[in-house]
Amino acid sequence: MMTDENSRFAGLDRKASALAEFTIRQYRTKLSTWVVMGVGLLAILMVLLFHIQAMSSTQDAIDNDFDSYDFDGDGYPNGQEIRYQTDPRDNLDHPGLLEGDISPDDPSLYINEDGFDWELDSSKIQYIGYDDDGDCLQPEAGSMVTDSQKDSNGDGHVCSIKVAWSSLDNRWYISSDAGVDEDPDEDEFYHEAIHRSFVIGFGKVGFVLLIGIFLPLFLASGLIRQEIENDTMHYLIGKPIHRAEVLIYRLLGFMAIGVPYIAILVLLTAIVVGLAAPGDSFFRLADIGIWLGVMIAAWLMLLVYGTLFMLFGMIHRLGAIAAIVLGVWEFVLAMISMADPSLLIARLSVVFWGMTIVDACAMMVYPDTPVMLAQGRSIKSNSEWSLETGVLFSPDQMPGTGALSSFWNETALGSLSPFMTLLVSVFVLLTLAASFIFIGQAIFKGKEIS
Amino acid sequence: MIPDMSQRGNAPEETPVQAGAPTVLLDGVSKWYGSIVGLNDVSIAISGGVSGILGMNGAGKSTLFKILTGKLKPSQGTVRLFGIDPWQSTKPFGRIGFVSESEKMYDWMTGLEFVATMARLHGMTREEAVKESERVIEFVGMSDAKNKRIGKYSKGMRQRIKIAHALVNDPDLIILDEPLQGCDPLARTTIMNVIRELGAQGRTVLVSSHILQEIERITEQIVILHRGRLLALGNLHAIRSMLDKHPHSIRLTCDEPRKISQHLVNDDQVFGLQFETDDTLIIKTQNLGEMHARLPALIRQSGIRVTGIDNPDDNLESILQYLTGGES
Amino acid sequence: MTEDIDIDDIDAEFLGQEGKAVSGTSRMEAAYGSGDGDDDLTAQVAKTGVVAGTIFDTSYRPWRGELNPRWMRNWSMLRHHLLGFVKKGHRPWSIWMKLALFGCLIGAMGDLAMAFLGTVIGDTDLYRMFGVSRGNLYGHVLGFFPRNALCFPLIAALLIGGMISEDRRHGTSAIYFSRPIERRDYTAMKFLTVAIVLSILIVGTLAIYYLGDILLRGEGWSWLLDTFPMFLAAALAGFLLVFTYTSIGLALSSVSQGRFFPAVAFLAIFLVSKLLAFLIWQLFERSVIYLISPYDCIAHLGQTMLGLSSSYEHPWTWSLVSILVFNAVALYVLTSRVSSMEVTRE
Repeated sequence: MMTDENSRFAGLDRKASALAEFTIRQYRTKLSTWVVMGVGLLAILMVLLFHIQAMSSTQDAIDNDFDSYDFDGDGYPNGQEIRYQTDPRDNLDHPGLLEGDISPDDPSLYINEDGFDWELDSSKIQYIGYDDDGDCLQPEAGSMVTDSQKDSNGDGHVCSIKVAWSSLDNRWYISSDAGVDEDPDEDEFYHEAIHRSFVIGFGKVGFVLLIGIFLPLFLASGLIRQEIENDTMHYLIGKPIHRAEVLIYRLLGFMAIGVPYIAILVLLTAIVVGLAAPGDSFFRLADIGIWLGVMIAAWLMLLVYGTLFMLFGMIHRLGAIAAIVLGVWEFVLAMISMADPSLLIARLSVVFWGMTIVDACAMMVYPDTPVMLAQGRSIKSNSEWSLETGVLFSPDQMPGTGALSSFWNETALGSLSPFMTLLVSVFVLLTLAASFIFIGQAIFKGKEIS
Repeated sequence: MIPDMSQRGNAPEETPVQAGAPTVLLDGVSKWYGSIVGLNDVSIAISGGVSGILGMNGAGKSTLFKILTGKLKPSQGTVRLFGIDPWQSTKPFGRIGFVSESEKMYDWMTGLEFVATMARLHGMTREEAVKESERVIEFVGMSDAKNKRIGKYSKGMRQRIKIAHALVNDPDLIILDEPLQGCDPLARTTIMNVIRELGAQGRTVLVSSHILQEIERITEQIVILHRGRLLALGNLHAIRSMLDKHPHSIRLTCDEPRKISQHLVNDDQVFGLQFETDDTLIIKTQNLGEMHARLPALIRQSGIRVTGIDNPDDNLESILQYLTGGES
Repeated sequence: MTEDIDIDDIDAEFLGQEGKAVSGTSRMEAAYGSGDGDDDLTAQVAKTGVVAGTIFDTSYRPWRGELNPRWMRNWSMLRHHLLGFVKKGHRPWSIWMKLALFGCLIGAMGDLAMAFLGTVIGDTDLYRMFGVSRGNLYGHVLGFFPRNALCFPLIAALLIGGMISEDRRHGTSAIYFSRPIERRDYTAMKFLTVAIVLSILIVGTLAIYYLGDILLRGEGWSWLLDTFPMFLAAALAGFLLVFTYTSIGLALSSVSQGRFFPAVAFLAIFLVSKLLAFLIWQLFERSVIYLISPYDCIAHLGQTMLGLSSSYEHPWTWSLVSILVFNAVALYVLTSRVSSMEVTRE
């Protein structure tokens, strides 16, 4: 029953599966495996709870242009008075005095009535926007507003919004005339913005950064170190298996635990987030693209970090310090990658490439996010006072814009398309993993086990 | 000259990878850790049969085994197992079984699973592995406990499972590091029988132990290490007889040792006489064989009834003591 | 040959009478009493042919010496742990640990250095930025980056790493528990060791900063009266931080057997909870999630104590409860693990 030792590849797959299976079973018996996996699951459930709560809450509708209020107290909302060209600040002048029986409108008609009617094209300067409620085109009666006054941003186009894409700054520049697209629906915007921010943000921070680093840190460090410390290394070494093979097969066993774990977690998150997603459909299928990206990014992080931490575990004392230093380094660079991924130093970390994968997928699945960001920032902060209503303020950006802008990044790999960015990042991570394995087996081969 | 301790067993000889190469070959091997010398210029060649590796603590036995099993690299000299350097290549391990001294095993596996996994690491398929595992488990006498977790095994059972895992790939070279430690007498007997059986099959077996009487019962070929150096090598009786400095002793148990001594004192082979107790007499002689040849005649001549003849120091313990000067 | 022994308190304790716990004295007896009376012993070697056996009488003589007072034993333990920093023959500190501690001490005094620089080069803006103020006192102790993100948790992690786990692994806990040392004292001294080093690092540097600033400014008593309560509040917050780091760290050290896992788990608890809470705050603007992060709870309390405007939206009482729960759980784990720790190698 002896293998022919002249062909040492005989039984390669048998040895691989034997060692990998052994590793998986070994993980099953260790408490730390279950604790780490349980804590990960709990953390994700907790975050999902917050997300569900946010998605099921209704944002207050804000009347950004105050036209649902009644400044003059004549019973007719400002917006109706504007429509009928009566003076909203004069309680003696209201539509009730005009021909026909014009009864006061319900004020809610004038909340969130002028939303975004935009179709953006980044290649040219555009003049877009439509004044749904007419408060730009037909301003208050008696005010004799000229065309140049209607064109408050001075771009020569009356009652429009001038948009231009700046590739230098990677953002849209917006200049709007007053009263155009000024009162959009907060609830709708918020939910979409938060949905996207959550998918991208949690995908990057939760899966790629946290689970991507901590699962290998706790599980993969012991792959070699535990065996040496427990004095059971000779069971694996004194066999006709190359030391390099021992490393690779142990890693395989580790991946066999980590890959399904991440897949299940991502699936769970995708289902919950997809069900809670805003929009008309029951379940948002389009997000699958991003979740696939998150899953692949997390798998690759497992692979690279698993290799690294297994390596560090081999070099007894120094290894532990190196692991902590690496952890800190990756954390700091992760923050930098999220804040400003165009900084070159960010590329010196593993986590940058993982996050870039998620960013690239986000760009492919949500290509109109820059538009949303521009819209979110386009509304103006107003304040008004009247005897009837007192002081009124309106916010300067749509709710959810802040979150979206902090997690959204245009991928920073120069002029590459998102798909190419994705491929490059995957390639970089695989190359990193391969080189670390190569270094690891070179170290392990020369290592004496006393 | 490298002494060759070849022994022939009953089983047909397996050709080593390089024909003519001894199974285990160490040539001028030294190993030091910083300023501590583990092995110092050790040269041995072993092929076939059971050899005992003996020495005090710190003599270098564990270092020797670690070098043989590829865990350490010799600082100087060459090691060859079946003609191949174990540090450079993992090929020879397919024909080697190693039973280590350490008690730590995978307590969560059952005995059969453990041996079968080790078998699969040699490249066997699952079915082959289970078949071979059951065969060796039966060989060491653990068939009824094979499905229990190793964590629940007694020491003797653990030792036997360790030996089983080392035998599963039908190895030509088996190395056992302290296989009898911590075992109860029953387990010890079983294990010793196993080792003797393996040697009889023509395999090369290296056994290291502190329990010298047990080693004596298994084999007569010994290697003695002391402070990293090779102190003695070969048949233990031959070594004993080479120790001229220390005369041999023969102990006679009889009713009147003083009377019998009068008959013995004149014999030229008698070096000295010692009255140990009231009924025992120690005869010191330089030439054990010759003295034994003459003894029956002398006893008959004296007419005293002798109830026991014994060689109190023709054993490993005495050899070790003499050779190492009683130091550890 | 049993003498009539007076059963008084000490003997009662030794003979295991009800209600008397085995204490230090009886352990000393067990350790030292066995050699006593050797000169009195007679042994009988069984001769061949003897059928009957012999029963040997042993007479116990309790050791009636004086034990050192408890505080002296505890002090020797504390000394053993702390002196290893400078002397051989005590619990060793690795060179990395010493370097890291040295580096962090220097780093922690960065604000004093900058204030000093400001006075030396006459730049009042620099001086005003780094001199003592409410915000700067808070920042010295509870500022997140880089102190509580890198420095303090790293030093704490390195300190607690092998504190109890090494004893478990190498079985040196046997050396402690076979001596007249209570397990409570053992835990307390280990706790004090870590707490003292961390206090020097966090609160000690705060005091130097405060003192240094007084000297630099040449301020008088009125300034001192104004700012001393702030300093006290910051110091109190610092001690709370030290206590929390120590209790969580030692609890982790007591459940593991290596020195790597507790350190990493410690860093994970602090940094990951902060990061997760930060993520949820960014996404959903709910600050209540910060209750899972011990650092943020203490920061919240620190802000309240120092009279700074709170960066959290939930009441400070919640943070107080949360941090108390953290400490209670950690101390519970620590004490239960140490009290059930076997003296032999596990």
